[in-house]
Amino acid sequence: MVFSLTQLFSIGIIYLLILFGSAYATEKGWLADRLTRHPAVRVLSLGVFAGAICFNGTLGLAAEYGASFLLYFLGASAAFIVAPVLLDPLSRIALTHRLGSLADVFAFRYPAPWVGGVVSLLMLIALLPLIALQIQAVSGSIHLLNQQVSEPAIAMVFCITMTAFAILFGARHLSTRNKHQGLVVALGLESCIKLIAFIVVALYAIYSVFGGFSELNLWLNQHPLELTQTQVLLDQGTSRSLLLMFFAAAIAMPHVYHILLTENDDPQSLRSIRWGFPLYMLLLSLCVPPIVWAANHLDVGTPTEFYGLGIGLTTGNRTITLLAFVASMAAASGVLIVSTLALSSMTLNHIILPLYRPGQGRDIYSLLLNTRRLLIAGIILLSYGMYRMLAPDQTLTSLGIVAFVAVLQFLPGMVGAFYWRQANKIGLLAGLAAGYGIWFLTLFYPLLNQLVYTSFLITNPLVPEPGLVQASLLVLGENTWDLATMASLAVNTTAFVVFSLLYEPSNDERNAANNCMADSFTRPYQGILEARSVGEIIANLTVVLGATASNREVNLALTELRLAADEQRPHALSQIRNQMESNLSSSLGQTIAHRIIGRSIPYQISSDFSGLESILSIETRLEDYRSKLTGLAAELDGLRRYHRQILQDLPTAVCSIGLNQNVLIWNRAMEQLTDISAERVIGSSLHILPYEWFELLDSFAAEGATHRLKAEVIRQRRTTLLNLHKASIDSVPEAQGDVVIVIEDITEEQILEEQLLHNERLASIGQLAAGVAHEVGNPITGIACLAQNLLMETDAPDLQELARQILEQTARISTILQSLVNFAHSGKSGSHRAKVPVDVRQCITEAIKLLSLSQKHQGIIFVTAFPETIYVVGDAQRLAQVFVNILANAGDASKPGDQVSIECHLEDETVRITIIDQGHGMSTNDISRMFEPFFTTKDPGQGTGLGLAIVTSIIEEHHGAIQASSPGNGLGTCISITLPQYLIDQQQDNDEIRLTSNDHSLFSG
Amino acid sequence: MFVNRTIIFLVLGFFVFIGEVDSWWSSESVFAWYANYLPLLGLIGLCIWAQAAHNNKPED
Repeated sequence: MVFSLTQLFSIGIIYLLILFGSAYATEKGWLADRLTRHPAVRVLSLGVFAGAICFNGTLGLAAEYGASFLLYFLGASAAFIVAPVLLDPLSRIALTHRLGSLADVFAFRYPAPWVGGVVSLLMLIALLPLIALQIQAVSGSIHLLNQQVSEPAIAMVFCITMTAFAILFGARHLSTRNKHQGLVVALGLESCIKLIAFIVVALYAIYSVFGGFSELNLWLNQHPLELTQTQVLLDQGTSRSLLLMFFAAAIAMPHVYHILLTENDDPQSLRSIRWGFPLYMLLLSLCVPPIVWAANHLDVGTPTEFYGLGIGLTTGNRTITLLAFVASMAAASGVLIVSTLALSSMTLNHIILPLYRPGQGRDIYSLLLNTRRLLIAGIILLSYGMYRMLAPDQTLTSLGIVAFVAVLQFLPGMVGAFYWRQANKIGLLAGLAAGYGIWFLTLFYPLLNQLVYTSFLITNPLVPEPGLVQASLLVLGENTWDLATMASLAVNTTAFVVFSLLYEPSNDERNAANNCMADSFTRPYQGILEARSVGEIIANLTVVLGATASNREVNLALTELRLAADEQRPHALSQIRNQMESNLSSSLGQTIAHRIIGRSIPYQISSDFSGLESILSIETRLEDYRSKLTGLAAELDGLRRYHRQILQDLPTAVCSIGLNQNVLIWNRAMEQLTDISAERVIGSSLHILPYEWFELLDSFAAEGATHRLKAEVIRQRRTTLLNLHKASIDSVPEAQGDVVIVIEDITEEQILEEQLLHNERLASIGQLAAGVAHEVGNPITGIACLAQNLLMETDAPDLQELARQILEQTARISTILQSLVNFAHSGKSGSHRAKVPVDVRQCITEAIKLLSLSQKHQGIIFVTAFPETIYVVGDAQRLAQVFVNILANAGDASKPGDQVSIECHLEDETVRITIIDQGHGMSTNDISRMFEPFFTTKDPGQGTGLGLAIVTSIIEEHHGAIQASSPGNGLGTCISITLPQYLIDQQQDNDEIRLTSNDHSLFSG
Repeated sequence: MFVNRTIIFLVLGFFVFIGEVDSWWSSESVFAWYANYLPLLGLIGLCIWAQAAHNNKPED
C-alpha cells in the first residue's frame, strides 16, 4: 500500500488548516465562550505534552521494555496529582507576576542579569533533541508510507510548514498579555484528534486483528510471554529515574509551561487539570498494549516505534494507516509549534534584548515581533540541522530521554525557589553547570559523537574504531544511562546546596525568596518610591520607553488596579510599580522588565520604614488568602477581623497616624465626620486632607498634650466643635511612634448647653422682675394716692395739671409692673386656670373690638377669614391676651388705612391662625429676637419688650407654636400661631374641663 | 508550608514501596495486564474526590 506524497501532504495541510481554523474562529469570537473556555478544553490543550514520544516512543518502550512504557504516563500524571508541591506555587508566582516562561521564573526568583539568559540557552540546547525527534517521527512515518522521497526532503517540507503555522498560531501579537485562546482551543482539538485516532487504532487491533476481547485473552493465554512482557519493569533504579524524569518534564518543559501558565489567565482551571490530565494520559496508555500485541501477532515489518502504521499497512487498511499517521503528525506538530513559540520568547527576552537595545523612536513592539518570528524560523532550522546529523538508527525514545534528562536539571533550582530561602543564584549556576556538564559528557556528547563519527569516520579521536559506534549509542536497558541521569542530578543538587550555603543571598534575592515561598502570605516592603505621583512615574518611564509606551503601560496598570490618575499614596504608587513590572515582563521578559522598572522607578535609598506598608500589605494579603488559612492562622485572622470591625463600627471617630504622617486607620465615624472616604486617605500622607483637618490633626499629633477640648473646625461656613484625645502606640515594635486619635463631635451638646444657660438666665430675670415689681408697686401706689388727694383738694389749675401728670406716670409705671408680674407668673405650673373649648373666631373678634376702642388703632382695617367654627382647648382670657398683643403690634406697625388680615384654617388636627399686616416689616435680626424678653423695636417708653415674650409663654402653655416672618422693606410681617384643635370626641380630664352652656363666655373667670 | 499531607505520603510511599508494587504487578492473572492501570486510576479517583470536597467547602 502506497500513499502519494500529494495525498499525505494534503492530509497534513487539511489537518493543520482545521486547527488554524478553530483558532481563528475562537479569536474572532465565532465560537461560544462557554465552549472555548470550558475546563475540558484547557485540560485537553495540555495534551500537547503527549508528543511523538507518546505515540511512537511508548510503543517502542512497550515492545522492548515491557511495562516501563507506563512510567511515561505515570510520571507526567504525578506532576499534576501532586500539584500542591510544585505546580501550585509555580502557578501562583507565574500568574501573579505574569512570568511568561521558566526562564522568567528563575530570573524572578534568582535576580541577576544573566540568570534568564543561562536558563534560556540551556533550555534551547536541551530541547533541540526533542524537536529533532518530532521531525524524525513525522518524516519517518511519511517515508514508511512513501519511499520515493528521501526523509530529509520530507523533513524540510515539514519544517517549513511548521514554521509558517507556528508564526500564524502564536506570533501575531508580541505580548503575552494578549492570550492566544485560539491556540489553546486548537491544541485541545488536536489532543481530541490524537486520542480518538489512538483509541480507534487500538480498537481496530482488538476487534479486527484479534476478533474481540475474548479472542485477545485467548491469544495472550497462548502467548504467555507477551503477557509477562507487559508486567516487566526495568530495574528499580532505572524505573525511578524514568519516573522522576517524566515528572520533571511535565513541569519544566517549555511547551507545557506555555500552555499551562502563559496562555492561562484563570487560576481556577488548575483544579480540573489536576485530575483531568492524568485521566487523559490514562486513556492514551490503555491503547498501547493492544497495538503492540496486534503488531507482534501480525509480525509487522516496521520499527517498533511505528507499530501503529505497521498494523494498518500489514492489514491493508488505508483508514487505519492514515489515522495512525494523523495521530503521529498531530502529536509531533503540537510539540514542535508550542515549544518553538516558548523557546523564541525566552531567547528574545533573555538573550537578544539584553544584548541589543533598539534606538529611541523606533516602534519597539513591531521590532520585537519580527525578531520573534525570525527566532521561530531559526530554532526550527537548528532542530532540522540536528535531525540531519542524527544516526539513522537512533531511536526516538533515546532522543527524548536525552532531552528529558537535560530538563530534569532544572528541578533542584525549582524546588529551592519555593521551599528554601537560602537558595541563591550562585548555587543555581553551580548546580546547572555541574548537572549540565555531566549530561553533556555522558548523554549529549555521545549523541554528537555519533554525528562526529558519521562525518569524520577516520579522524575522530574519540571513536578510534568503528566497532565502538554501537557502544556510543544510547541503550536504555543498560545502566550507563541511569547512572548518568542520577549522577547529573545528584551532582547538580549537591553543588546547588553547597554553593547556596557558601554565598549569602542579596537583598533582591531575599525579597524574591519571600515572594516565592510556598507558604508566604506577605509581600515584602521595599520602601517608598522616589516618584511622588503618577505623573512623575510617567515622566521617568518616558526616558526609556518613550511617551506612547509609558503612558500605555501606566494607564493599563491604573485600570487593572482601579486607581485614579491623581494617586499620590505611597502604598498605591508602589502597587502601580509592581503591576507595571508584571505587565512589562509578559512582553519583554522578567530580566528586562525588572531592569527598566528598577532604573526608572527606584525606591528611596534611605526611606524610613514606619511599618505602614508592611501592615497594609499584610492586611491586603490576608484578605486575599483568607479562604486558604487554616487552623490557628485562620482563628487569628478571624480575631483580627473582629477587632478591626469593632474599630470600624465605633460610633466615635477614630484615626491613626504613623510616624511619617501617613494615615493608617480611618473608621466609618471619621468618614462621616470629615466627609472624606477611608479609601482615599488610608496610606496617604496627612497633606492630602483639606487644610482645616490637616492643620487640626497634624498639630494635635505633634503636640505633647493628650487632650484638646472644644477645638473649632470651620467647614462650609459652619463651626464644628470637637474634643480630641490622643494615645501613642508604643507596645507594638512595628508601630513605634504611631498615634491613635479619638474625636468627639460636641457641637450639638454645646448648642444645648448654651440654650440651657439662656433659659436659666431668663428664668432668673423673671424672678427678679417679679420681686422688683412687688417692691416698687407699694410706693407707686402711695404716690398715686397722694397725687389723687392733691387733685381733689386744690383748685389751682397748675397744681391740678401737675397732679394729673403724676397720676398718668404712676399709672404707666403700674402697667409696666403688671407686665413684669404677668411675665414672671406666666411660666409657673402653679397657675391653674380652667381649660375649656374656646371658639377661636369669637376670641379674635373680641380682641379686635378691644383694639378698636383705642384711638391709636382707629384707622386700621381688620379683615378676618374663618371658613368654619374652630375650637381649641385653653384659657379664653389668656388667648385673648395673645391676640390683643399681636394685633396691637400689627396695628402699631401699620399706617391708618392699612389692612391687617387674620386667617384661620385647619391642618390635620392643628389650628393655624395667621396674622398679616402691611406695616414696615422687620429685619432678619429683629425677627430672630422679637420673642425675647425686653426686646423691642419701639422707641424708649413706647414698649416694655415683654408683650411677645408673654405671648410665646401663653402659646407654649397651650401646646402650640408661634412663628414670624417678614420680607422686610415695607412688605409687612406675618405671625403664624398653631394650636391643637379641640375635637368633639376628645377624652378630657374632668378636673380641667368645665363645660356648661352657661360657661361658654370668653371672659369668664 | 501547607501541603496536602495525603499527597506527600502517597508520593513517598510509592517511591519506598515501588519494589513491592513491582512484585504485585508481576503476579500472574488472566486479567493481570489491567492491574497496571489500577494505581493511576485510584489516584485519579482520589483527586476527583478531593477536588469535589474542596469545591463543596463553603467560601467565606
